[in-house]
Amino acid sequence: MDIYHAIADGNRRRLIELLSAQDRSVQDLTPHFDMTVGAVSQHLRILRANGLVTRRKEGRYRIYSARPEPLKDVHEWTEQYRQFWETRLDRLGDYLAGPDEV
Amino acid sequence: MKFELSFERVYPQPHDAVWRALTDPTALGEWLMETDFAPEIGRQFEMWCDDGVGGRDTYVCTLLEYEPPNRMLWSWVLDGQQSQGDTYVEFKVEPVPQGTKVSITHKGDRDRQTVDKFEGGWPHKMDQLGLIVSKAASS
Repeated sequence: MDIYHAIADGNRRRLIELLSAQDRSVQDLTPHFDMTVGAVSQHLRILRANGLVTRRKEGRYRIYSARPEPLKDVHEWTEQYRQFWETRLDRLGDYLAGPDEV
Repeated sequence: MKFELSFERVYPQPHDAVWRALTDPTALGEWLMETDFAPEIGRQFEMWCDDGVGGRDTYVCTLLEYEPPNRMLWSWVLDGQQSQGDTYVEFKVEPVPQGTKVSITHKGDRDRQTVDKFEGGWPHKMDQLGLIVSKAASS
């Protein structure tokens, strides 16, 4: 499973958002979703497998943290399309501005 | 509610074969749950299983007492339920004329639904244990 699959699910994107704000246990995360602990745990497993979330032990607790580094690839991939669209929009701007210059 | 559930089963296989099935992570994975158990007192380990509704439960356990090849005690809590406190699972293994008796006692404090799940789950797991030890004995 690749990073695009990992972030394709809205619940997993929400988990990344919550963990970016603050490290949390699965117990703290579950009330934010309409899912069981097991389902949240499964999503966290997928995020961990893709390096988007890390986990540490604190006594009996398992604390999860966001690790946004792998999202850099996604950002770089979408960035080329930002440039593409900006070029197109600039041209559209030129076109629309054109008649005034005549 | 406080609960204490006890289950007993006699297996025809020898004591050491049964003990091995209780303490070898590969064997545990076949009859109980996938795990990173290791026989080291005080060590935390996890057990993983499907939760039946598309997710995956993680149990956080600690090997509290270990007296091979007769007895061990685990703490046992579903990751996400730590605030409810640990439950405790004790395994006792003893030779009997017909083979080896395994006694499992699970106790703690949980809601009715969770206790029902434990009560229904252990007999099934003990059936699986029987299959694993007989398979190991015949190979």
